[in-house]
Amino acid sequence: MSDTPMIDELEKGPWPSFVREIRRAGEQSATARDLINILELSYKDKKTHWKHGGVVGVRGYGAGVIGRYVDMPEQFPGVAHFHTVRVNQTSGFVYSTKGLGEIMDIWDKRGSGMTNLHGSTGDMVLLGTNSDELDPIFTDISQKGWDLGGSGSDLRTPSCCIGPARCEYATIDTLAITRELTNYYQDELHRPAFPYKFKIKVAGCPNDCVASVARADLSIIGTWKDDIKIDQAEVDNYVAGGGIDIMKEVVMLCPTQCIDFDGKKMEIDNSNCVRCMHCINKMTKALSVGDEKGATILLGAKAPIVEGAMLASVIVPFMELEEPFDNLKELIEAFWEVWDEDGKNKERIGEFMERMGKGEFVEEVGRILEENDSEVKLVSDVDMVFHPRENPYIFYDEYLEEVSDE
Amino acid sequence: MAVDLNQVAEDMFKMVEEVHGVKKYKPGDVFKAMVKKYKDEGLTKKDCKAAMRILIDSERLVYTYFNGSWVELPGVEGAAKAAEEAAKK
Repeated sequence: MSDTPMIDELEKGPWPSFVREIRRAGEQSATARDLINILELSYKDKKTHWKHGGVVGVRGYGAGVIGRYVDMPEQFPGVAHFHTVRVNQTSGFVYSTKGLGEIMDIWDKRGSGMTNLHGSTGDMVLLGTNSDELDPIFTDISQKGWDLGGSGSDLRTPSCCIGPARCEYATIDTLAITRELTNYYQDELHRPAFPYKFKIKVAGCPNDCVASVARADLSIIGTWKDDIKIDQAEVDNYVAGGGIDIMKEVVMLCPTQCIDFDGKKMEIDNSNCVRCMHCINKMTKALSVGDEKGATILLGAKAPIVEGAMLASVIVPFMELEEPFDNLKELIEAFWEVWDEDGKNKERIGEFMERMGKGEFVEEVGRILEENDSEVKLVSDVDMVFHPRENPYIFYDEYLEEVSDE
Repeated sequence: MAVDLNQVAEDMFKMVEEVHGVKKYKPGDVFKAMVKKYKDEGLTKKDCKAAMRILIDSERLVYTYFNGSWVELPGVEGAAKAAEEAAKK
């Protein structure tokens, strides 16, 4: 009988299996073999045997290394130390084979050889090494032009979709924004000084392929201000081609019902369009994003770690973004200023905003921007809501009538 | 700014040292305390970051992660000691 019957179950079936991959690594690595064994024990005991966090790191940095030890080092010496190293990924995850090969050579020599590309923040996550190898790894990757990413209560490595490098929908240069923010905020990335983590994700259009609206404290999502462009000749081609039922698949699925289509001519009431991208995604040749391009800035999304999951809510509906993105930096720093001042330990900015009240938070950020003579103006607005109302027993019409009677 | 950053760094170090083993400070807590202390001299958070960097680069203080990020005196944690002892055996 196998020594790891529970873990073996995870190798069954046609889908990819992390257990299969770790076993493959185990053909050459004692660390990988002990990793399987400790995992089996955790499943058996129904508790983790890992200790997370600690003192380890590289000299001068407070981020990029996550300390990890097992609580039974004598039984599992291969994973007695099993520290994670986060390497700052490239913008849009565009790598050269040579670059990846260099990272893997270093990791095979100084670590377990196991990786997780990419972690939920986006970094290249190198799994499993011991304390003595940390500074040499840092030296080796630095010499090849790489750097460590964020971890702990700091700015996490900003990440983005591939944007204008490959996607025609991109209304902002996601790659340039990510690269600039990463380089500009090196101190915030490597030296934790925030109440808790702060993630930035940049999506080129409202399709939001990086899911920033659900995963990032600060979501920068490309959008446009003017009208959706309609190529009527291409609409005619879609009608003639018959490959799509425009009425059923496009018009009826518009969330605000702002498309008018008589079987031949298409018109859009752009004042009611919410930039959901559905029609553009369905009729790529006939419809395209407008010419006045920029981004919507949202704040507050997070996964359910300390408190429940939150989606981001809009703070700035439209902002033009041109290099060197000074307006964006001023806004981000104002957010940090308010959060840093009164945020509690392990309180994400979305939770902080909820505790403080969104209106008051926005007003405070606006005041700081004004104090700093920023060109960015931020004022609270009744349209700034966290989510639609939940209580159906509040009748606003009645309230408004009473007010008008007075 | 009139105040010497080395002096600020020294004050930061004392603040952390005084509570060692009893309480932990986040870097932000230390910055706020220094900005308050040197209010008349116009010390900013940016200056505090530079002062903290002096302490971290000289390894008088280290960043740690125990359910949040902190600044502490250098030390070896229990789990690391256990791993070392296991390796010796």
